[in-house]
Parts: sequence; structure tokens; C-alpha cells
Amino acid sequence: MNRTQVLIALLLFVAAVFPHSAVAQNDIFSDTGVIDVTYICDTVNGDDGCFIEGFAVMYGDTNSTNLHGLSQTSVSADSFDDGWDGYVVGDVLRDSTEIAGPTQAGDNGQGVSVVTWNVAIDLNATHVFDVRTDSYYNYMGDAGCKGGGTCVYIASTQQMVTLGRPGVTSITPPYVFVGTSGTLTLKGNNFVNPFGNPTTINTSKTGGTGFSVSTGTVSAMQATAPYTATLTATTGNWDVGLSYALGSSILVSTFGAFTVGDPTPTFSSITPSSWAAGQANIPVTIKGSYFGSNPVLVIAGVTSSITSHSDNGQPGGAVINANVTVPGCSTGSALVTVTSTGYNGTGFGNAYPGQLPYVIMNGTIIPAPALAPTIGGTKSPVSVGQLASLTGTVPAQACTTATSWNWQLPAPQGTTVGGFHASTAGGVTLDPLPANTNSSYAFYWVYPGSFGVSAQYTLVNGQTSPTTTSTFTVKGLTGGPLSNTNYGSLTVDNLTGCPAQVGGPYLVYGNVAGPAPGCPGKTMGTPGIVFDVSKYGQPSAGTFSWVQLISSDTTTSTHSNGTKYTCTTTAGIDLSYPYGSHPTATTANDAPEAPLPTSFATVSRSFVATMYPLWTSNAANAIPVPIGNQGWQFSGQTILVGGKWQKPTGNGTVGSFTAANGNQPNKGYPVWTGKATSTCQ
Amino acid sequence: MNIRMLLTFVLISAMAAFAGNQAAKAPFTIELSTDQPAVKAGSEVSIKVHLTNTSKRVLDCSGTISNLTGVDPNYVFEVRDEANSVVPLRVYEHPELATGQPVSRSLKPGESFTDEQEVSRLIDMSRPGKYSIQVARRISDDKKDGVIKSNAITVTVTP
Repeated sequence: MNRTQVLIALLLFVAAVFPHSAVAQNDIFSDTGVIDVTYICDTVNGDDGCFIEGFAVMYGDTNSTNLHGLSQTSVSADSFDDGWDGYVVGDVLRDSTEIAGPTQAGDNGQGVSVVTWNVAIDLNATHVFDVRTDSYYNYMGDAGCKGGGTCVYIASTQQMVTLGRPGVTSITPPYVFVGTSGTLTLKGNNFVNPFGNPTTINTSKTGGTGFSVSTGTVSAMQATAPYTATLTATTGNWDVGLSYALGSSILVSTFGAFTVGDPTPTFSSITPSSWAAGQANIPVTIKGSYFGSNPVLVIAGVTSSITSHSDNGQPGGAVINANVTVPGCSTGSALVTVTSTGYNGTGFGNAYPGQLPYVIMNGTIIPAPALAPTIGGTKSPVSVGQLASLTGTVPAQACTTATSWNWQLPAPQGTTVGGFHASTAGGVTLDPLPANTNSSYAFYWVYPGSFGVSAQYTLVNGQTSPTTTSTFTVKGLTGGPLSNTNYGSLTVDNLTGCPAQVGGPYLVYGNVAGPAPGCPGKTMGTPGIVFDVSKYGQPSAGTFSWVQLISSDTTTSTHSNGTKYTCTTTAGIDLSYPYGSHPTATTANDAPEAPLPTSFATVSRSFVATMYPLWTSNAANAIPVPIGNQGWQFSGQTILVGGKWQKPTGNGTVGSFTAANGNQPNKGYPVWTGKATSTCQ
Repeated sequence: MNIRMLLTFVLISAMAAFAGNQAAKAPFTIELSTDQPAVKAGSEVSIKVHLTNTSKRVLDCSGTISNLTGVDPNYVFEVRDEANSVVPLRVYEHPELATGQPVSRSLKPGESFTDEQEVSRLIDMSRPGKYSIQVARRISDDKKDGVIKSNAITVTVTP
């Protein structure tokens, strides 16, 4: 087959494949049939450098079978030099712009006219090529068509073709997971080689393995590609290319935004899902999907270790067996996280932005219970005023970290105080009970009885213990009551002076001999009042102390002319805290003395006071506790007659004893706000 | 050294040792302290006097307290100002008219008690400044036995 025959055959083929581009202007064309273009940029007929070539030919053939239907016979006439010359003329347009021709060729004298074009194809862009031809006869007797003479139009033809590189604009789905297979759908343009060379779809990635596609159906703008991504396929971006040969060139469109990634792990179950705090090595099975070939298990707040795992890459095909050890004080929920590191050993490969490589769910921790505490420290029985220093202890158990305690003194609580302070100037201050939220609790019972102390605690895991109650026997003084010896009257006694004070006669409640006020030394005789607590039985070794409060004390010295000098004592504590005059361990006394200067004619005194005995255990850190109080008073006067003070009138009485109790003000303790001070005018 | 000389040496040594022990061992101790090392002018200045019987005898601590001053007459207070001058006693208009009351008490061997003594009622400490306070107590009624002094404490009176 010569070249012409080849071209003809090719034209027929193109016309068959691209019927739209073989436009017959009239039936002459179809009958003569040999006016056409072809495009040679392929390897089918030998590469010519990928040019578009136009070829039009008219030839004479008198054979009726070739000329049937041809109304003109001039072809054959021309062929036989009948006075007509045959011509063909044509050009090539690209995107409506003429880029070749027009070229005209005349009869070669043998009935054949040929024009050809050879236009390079730009493979980097898509263009519409338009090849047009006309054929006609010019009458030889005049100038023909071109010269305005006689010509006969035979036929024209036009072929249009779009040529360009294939382009993939999208792939659906945009990513696939390892361990899956399916079909990709590619969309774009120029997917089909206009000359019939097959279109191929494949994948590529530098160093990548495990992801492959095959070429499915291909149309101009869409193609399908069955794919397979093995479980260990290389993850990341892969190139998916669509290509076909055009001449010696392989036209390829690469879609580089396609991803092969690892699937997101999912949970289906965790068994058991509740774990008791304090238990070690609890076997736990976690089932799900896509945990990967080397999953990482983290359970917040507990210790976990994977003992075995498997994953076949199929839904529901992942299992992790682990041991879980829960700290003793854990509680609440524990966040279980399984992180996939993929399947190929290079780590988790995201299939899409934002994809999480892990899955979470919650396990439940059953908190360890709080057992009843023990109460230690001070043991029963105790004495009143003895420090009860108690300590709560959390028993041996899974969780021993207590965040708070709750000490209570159930009814009857007894009279309890947190502490005792006393000073001459400030009186008695009783501290409130200490905070009951610490593990230790220290306080004092002021009065005897049988009392309970309860304690419970709350663990750091929120569990509150049962209450433990200890019962204490609090022993107090027995017997009593306070007794007294009241002198009952006033006397005039001569007291001994010293450098600080002159001696002389004094109006004394009682009958004494000794130093004048402001002088050291022992006073002998009978005090005005003696209080005695010796009838009390002590619950344990201890000591007695005293507080005397003066309610009023007024001494009036009157001159013979009637002018008075009055000393008034404000209410307050007598002397100091504690009361200093206690000649024995169980007694306290008083013998108030007022001077009797001879410059006065009359001296009178009225005195009211209350004595408070207290008892203090010898136990360490004990505080005084009140026993009760007893008021007493005296009043009387003496007059100066003949330079001698007469036997005083008046008397002294003692009130009834009032035992102390917790309902009294200040819980029965004496109340004062300062020292009793005397002012004279 | 003959036996006589040796005996003489031993006797002298024993006497010296006995005398030393007697001098070193006071029959009581006095320790001062205060809860208020700084007070405002015009406020009372009280100190705590802690007396301990360190002898083997009962220590009589009796006295008759004047209601004018309120301090234990067994104690001799010495208060000095910042110039180390002795601060004078307070002056009362009619000290001879002071009432009082006998205080009868004693300390057994080893016992002690603490008294609050309002020293400012006895000594004029009304002016702002630093005052050094020390207390002395006679060992016995015999002046020849001397006194035992306490430690000294400082109280600051602020304006």
C-alpha cells in the first residue's frame, strides 16, 4: 500500500471515528470521497513529529463506479485535457485563526491535484483545529475562478478537531484507606486519544508501594480506575496519572492531591469497663477497628500495659489485651485512648486533614471504700480540765489519703472548750473548739460526765467513712461543798510599819497582827474569811487555785469637822490572777485592812466580794475548771474617842455557795475585765 | 607531807568546797517576762514574776499588799530608763491612807508560782522610752544574806 492508499484508509477511519468532523458539503464530496484532512501525530503510521497535516486530493477517474452521481464530467474531461483544469485549495485554522494556507494546487496534468499542510501541534494547550478544503474546475479558456472567468465548484469539506493534553481535575473519592479496594472516578478532559491510542491510568509515589490502580472505562471527561491499597501500603500523597501516547510523546495528566491513609481507629467494646481502685493487673480486652500494627494504649490515671494485640485491618478486626492497675485513691472515669501508628511501621498517615489517629472512650473506676477510722490519743477516763488530745487514723485500706475529717461531740456534749487563758487585766478567755476537720482534735471537758466523741473522714476519692465513736468518762471533783470560816466582825489591829509604809492602827475584818499594807512579812491571827475546799475529792492529782472578784469596796474617813475622804474601789479582780492569799493547798483567806490615822474621827468600810475556787489537774496541759462561787461581805465602822479607835461596829456575812455549771455565764468561770482599783478623794 | 599536814589540807579543801556550793545554790530564783514588751504611754505596764523555791525549805512569800500600788512588797523593783537612770517611784497623794490585805502563801521546795505585777502602779513609767526592769528579793529577813536579782527585761513605752 502506497502512501496515498494509506491516507485514504486513514481518512476513512477518521471519518468513522469522528463523524462530526467529516462534514460533507454536498454529495459530490461523498461521491468523490477524497477530499479530507488527516492528523498524523501518532505512531500508527510512523511518527512525523506530531504535526497536523492537511491533505486534499482530486483525481480524475472516468470509471462510472467512481463517478456515479457526479453531475460534472469535466473531471474526466480535465483528465483528458478537455479544457478544464482541476484545482484544490485549502487552509488550516487554529481557534478560528488561519495558521496555514490558503494553498492552491492545480491539476498535475494527470487529473490529480493535491494540497498539503504541515502544522505543528501545541501539546501544552488545547486548541480547536479547523481544516478546510475546496475543489473546483477552472475553465481553461478564460481566467477561471480566480481570474473572474468560468469555474465550476465541485465540493468543499471541513474537519474540526480539538487537540490537547489530557487533564484530570478531580478524583472521587479523594483518599482511600489502606487495606481497601474499590473504584476511583476521575473527571477532567481530553481523556481519549483522538487517534485511538489507548488511555492508561496508573499510580506513582517515590518509594511508595502497595497502592495500584487499573484502567477502567474511559470517556472524554470521565474515567474509572479500580484500585487496591494493601494494608501495608505506603501512606501519603500519591500521584494518579492518566496518559496516552501521541506520537512519540506520552501525554500525562497527574493528579497529585490523592491520598492513601490509615483509617481512624474506632472502639466497639472494653471489657470490663469498670475497675476497682487499688486492684492491680486487671485483664482488660479492648475491641474495635483499625488499631494498627503497633497500637498505643493510654488510660488516664491508671497504669496500663498491652499484653497482646492483633488487627487484620478489617472492620471489627482489632483487639488489644491489656493489664490495668488502678491506684488506690483513683475515682471517677478514666479516659481510655488507643492511638494507631498505622500498619506499615512509619507511623499514622492521615488520609485527610484533621483526621485523628486515636479513639477515646471512658472506663469507670470504682472508688475504694473508706473504712471506719480509729480514734487514738488520750484514753478514757479523763479528769475535768485535762487535755483530750485525740487523733484519728485511717485504717489500712486501698486509699488512705484523707482530705478532711469530721469530729463531732454527740449530745450530750458536756461543756467543752478549746482552751483557757486568764490574766489579771484581761479576765478569762475561753477558746472555741478547734476546727474539727483535721485528723487531730484537742479540747477540754470542763464538767464531768460520760460523753462520746465521734470521728469520720473523707478520702481524696470522695468516699466518706462510717463514724467511729469513743465514749469518755470525764471525772470531776466529788464531795464538797466549799466551806468557809467567817470571822464575822471587825477589829482595830496595830500593824507593823516598814520603810514603805508607816504602821499603826487599822480597821481589819478579822483579827490579825502583822505588817502594814506595802510591807513584807507574815500576818498572823484570824483572817476575816477563810474558804476551804478540803471537802472535795479530787479525780486525780491536782491543785486548787482561787479568784476573788470585788463587787464594791468603799472606805470613808471622816474628819471631826465632817469632811470626808472616800476611797472607792471599782469592781474587778482582787489583787491578781490567781488570787494570791492561799496559806494552804486547800484554803484561801482575806483580811481587808484600812488605816486609821488619828487625823480622822470616823472610818467606815463596806466591802462585797465573791470567791471562786478552781481546780487544775496535774496532767500535762490541763486547764483550771471552776468549782463554784460564794459571795461574802462585811461593813462596819470605828470612831476615834480620846485618841483611841474604838471597837468597830458592824459585821460580815457569807452567802450561799453556788456550784459551777456549764449553763452559767462564761461556762461557770469567773468573769472580770480588769483589776479592782481604788481611787480616793 | 606528814599526816597532820595532809588532814589539814583535806579539811581546808572540804570547807572551801562546801562554801562554794552554798554560794552557788540560791534558795530561790526569780525570772521576769512580759507578754507586752511594748505598750502605749498611759497604759499599765505589767510583768510576770516567776518565783521558784530552789531550796530544801519552805519559802514564805507572805506580805501585805497595798491597794495603792498592788505590788508584792517582797519584791524590790528597779526600773531604769534609756539613760540608765533609776526611774523614781510614783507619788500618791495620801499613801498613808492606803488600804490593803495580807497575803499568806508559801512555796514548798521545788514549787513555783507566777504573779503579775503592775509595776507602773509603783514606778512612773508614763513617759515614752525604753525601760529596763529588774526585780530583787531578800533572801531572808537578815539583810546580811543579801538579795537575789532577777533577769532584766525591757519594756518600750510608745507615744
